[in-house]
Amino acid sequence: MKIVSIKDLTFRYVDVPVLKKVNLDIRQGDYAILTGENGSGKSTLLKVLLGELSPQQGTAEVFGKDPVRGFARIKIGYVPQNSIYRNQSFPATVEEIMMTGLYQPIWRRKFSGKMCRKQIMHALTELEMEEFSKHRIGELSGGQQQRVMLARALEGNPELLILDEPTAGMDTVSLKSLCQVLDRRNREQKLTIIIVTHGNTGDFVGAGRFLKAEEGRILEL
Amino acid sequence: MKILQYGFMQRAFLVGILLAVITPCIGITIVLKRTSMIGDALSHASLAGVALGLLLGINPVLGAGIICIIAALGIEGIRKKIPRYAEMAIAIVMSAGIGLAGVLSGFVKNGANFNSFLFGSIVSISQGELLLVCIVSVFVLVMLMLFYRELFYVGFDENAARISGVPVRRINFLFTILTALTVSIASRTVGALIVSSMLVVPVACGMQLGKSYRNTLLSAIAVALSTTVAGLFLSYYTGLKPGGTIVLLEVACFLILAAVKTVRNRFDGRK
Repeated sequence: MKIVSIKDLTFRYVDVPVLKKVNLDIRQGDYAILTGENGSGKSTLLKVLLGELSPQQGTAEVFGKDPVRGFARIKIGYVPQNSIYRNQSFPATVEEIMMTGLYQPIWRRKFSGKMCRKQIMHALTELEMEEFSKHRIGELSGGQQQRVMLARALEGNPELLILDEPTAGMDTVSLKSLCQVLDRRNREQKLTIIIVTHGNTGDFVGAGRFLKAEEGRILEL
Repeated sequence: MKILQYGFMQRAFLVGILLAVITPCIGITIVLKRTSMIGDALSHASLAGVALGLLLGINPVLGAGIICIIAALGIEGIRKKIPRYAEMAIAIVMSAGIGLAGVLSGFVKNGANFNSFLFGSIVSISQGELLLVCIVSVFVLVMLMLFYRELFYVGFDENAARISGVPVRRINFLFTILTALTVSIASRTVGALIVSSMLVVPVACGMQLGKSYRNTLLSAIAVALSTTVAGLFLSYYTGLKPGGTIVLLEVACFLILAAVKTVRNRFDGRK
């Protein structure tokens, strides 16, 4: 089943082409790493997939739908690039931030508080962060915060997980924990994963597809 | 207690307490979205609504409410056009509001009535205005409680909220309306020049106290309630303007809490 389908996608910032006739399919269970230099178009591609930008030409579909229209009833886990910077001063505990990962619209809300807490603690335990549930997010190190953000992205059992520069600010322990969890989820639950990174692609054990953004094109290595 | 035997003081306390509950609830989202000046823009715009209401012979609070809603929607609209300089939208609308208020106030016959909206007159609230404040406050509070999670999520990360299925545009629109309603009723009571302080300063106090988002909000409400009640008592017995007194107490509260926190952090650091 195709999770992501991109056909002849072209995107320009004013007159500067950033993505040129990109064609890419990501199937269920794919574990793809996208690398590229600054300005190569990988962040723009991510923004198109997340519905932040609309292409001038071509189409991008996620689960068969235009991402610009929103992701209601589609489970996507997303860890943004600048989450650490944003988290520093936000007055919320890890548990409160984890609650956002279990968001349901008001007319579909059926989770009891107890069940939510169980799911939250399970997700935090997977990333070895359960003892920090009552800590303020800003009290954690960068690597710990990234682990919390990943736990938040995973707790709702998403079908697609998108990570933007997940290794930025991460210590070795956190990185190892992250890679183990991603590998296990991909193998056991066929979780489709897309990671955008500048870092060492060898860290991501289990990754099966390696893509490179180069001068607006996406090449498969 | 003699102070509570007077009808005007009973109304003042009731209005003050209602506002002390809803303003931090609105304020926390405003602060976390880093749009703290929006209260200023809307309250200045509300003065244009007051002047328009007085000129047209309609309830100035209603006029303030309508103009506030238009101004709030204008801020959202301009922000979408120039997302990189979103804070300019607030400045543009504030300029338009205060300019319009300045021009229209020149045509208002009863200048004293218009001037009462600058610093408010919580002790001269009529029964009709009390009913309006009660209805609006209950409506705002119910909406904030219903959409607590959505507002938290949008305040934390608007993009991630959208990806998770939060109807961000609708939530922002609703929040804009609630902010405009709160500012318009607060302008009448504590004054257009003071409203934005009531939105922001209790939240700043709450952030010194709370370890979680919930506790920050509850602390902000507690600070707003205690300073409002203390401010009304103080203004009654000393003759000071109630709106200004309440805000000065809030600022004093913040300075004390910030100082205590600094001393405590230094002491913990030395350990």
